[in-house]
Amino acid sequence: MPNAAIPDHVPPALVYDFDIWKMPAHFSNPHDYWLTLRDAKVPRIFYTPHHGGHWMLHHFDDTLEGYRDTDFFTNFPNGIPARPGGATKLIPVEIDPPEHVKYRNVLGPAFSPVAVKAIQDGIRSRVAGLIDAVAGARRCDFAGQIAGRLPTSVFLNLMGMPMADFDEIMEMEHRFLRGPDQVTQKDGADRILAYVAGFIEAQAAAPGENVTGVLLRARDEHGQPWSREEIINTAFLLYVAGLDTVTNMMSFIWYYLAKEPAKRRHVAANLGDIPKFVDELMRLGVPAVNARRVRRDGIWRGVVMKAGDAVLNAPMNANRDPAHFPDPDVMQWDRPNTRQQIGFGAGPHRCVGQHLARQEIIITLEEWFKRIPEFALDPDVPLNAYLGNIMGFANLPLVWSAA
Amino acid sequence: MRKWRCFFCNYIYDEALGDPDGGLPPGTRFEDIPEDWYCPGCGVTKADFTRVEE
Repeated sequence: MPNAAIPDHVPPALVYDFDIWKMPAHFSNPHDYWLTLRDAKVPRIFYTPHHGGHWMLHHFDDTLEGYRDTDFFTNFPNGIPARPGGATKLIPVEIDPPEHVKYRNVLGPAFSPVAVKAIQDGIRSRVAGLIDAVAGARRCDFAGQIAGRLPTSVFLNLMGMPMADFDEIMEMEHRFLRGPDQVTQKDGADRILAYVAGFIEAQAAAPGENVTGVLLRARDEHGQPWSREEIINTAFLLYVAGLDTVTNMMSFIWYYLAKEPAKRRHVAANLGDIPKFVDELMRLGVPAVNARRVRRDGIWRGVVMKAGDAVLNAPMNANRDPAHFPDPDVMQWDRPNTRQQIGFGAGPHRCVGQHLARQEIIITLEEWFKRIPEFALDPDVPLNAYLGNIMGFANLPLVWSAA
Repeated sequence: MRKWRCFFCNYIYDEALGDPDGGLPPGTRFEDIPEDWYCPGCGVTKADFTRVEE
């Protein structure tokens, strides 16, 4: 998409050139590219002309308020650039309060701490199986073989979908997320949508005790069931929202641990404290940015914005803001405010899968470190990173000497 | 009765009101909220609430 003209209401002093979809070739870690925004010459809130033009919120206080302020910002459309006009709203992420509450009330219990606790043993056995499959090889592509497979496996189980379909689903996912062009990617998305729709149709007569059943049994405030379109749309969103996000958060965490021997050894020596370490690791491992649109003309935190302006919340940068997290690039296990990290967003749209993602990462750390306490980046295999509304590594080559 | 604020969404937990939909009857003290209760505004747990001084 060509660069947009700078709108008249944007002063030149607030324009800064930053492309969220493309980084200079000398960066291997997308975070390092994003952290160039901490340079003193970058305005606190700035406007970049790329991808239709959008504002950027990258300091902690601005980003937190950008998430909380649903009066000034709408969640639709949720992406930079926006999807083509007329696109169906993704439920619940593109539904604003108060309508959003209808969906949150159903999904909240399904992904609550209690619900996640109930499936912990199943997650642990899946994780153990994935790690056991690579442990003896003394090397693996962590992104492809562990982090890229776990969320799909957990999703199928949550939805009650047959594990026999795992390889077929992974193939669809691969086309959707890694397809070489937009036609292939759309084909992947269409196939996933068709699979989800077919499964829901087949379950409708006798909904099971799983998230598919929760959606089929859901009722609105008038006691009416959700429409089939709402159910399919929600299931599709749950699926795609939990794929690359968890995968890349895990890959970033393992990337940083691979590069930090002292921190890694501290984790290995204190396996029982992993639930305490995980917030600091998630603070560093943020994979997503989140777009909003301005609802009405106004002045927001001192900046003139117009209805329809696109705004991007950058939680990775917010989590590295030295004004909120001193020495922000350093892993500190006793950081007093580490739970305030906003990698899962904030406000009413904070990630509904936050407890599930947290538990998946805790369990994977526990099972990994039991088997592979020492590991490093493979110096012979180049990292392949990508950017966008989700950023991460397409591969994460790790090596270790003994399992 | 006391009030507590969610860091992430500014939801106020008012002990006088409780959170009946979340299983907390009016009058439930913050200390008595179970660890697996979650914020009706954004889903975080009680560990992410701070006391509102009045």
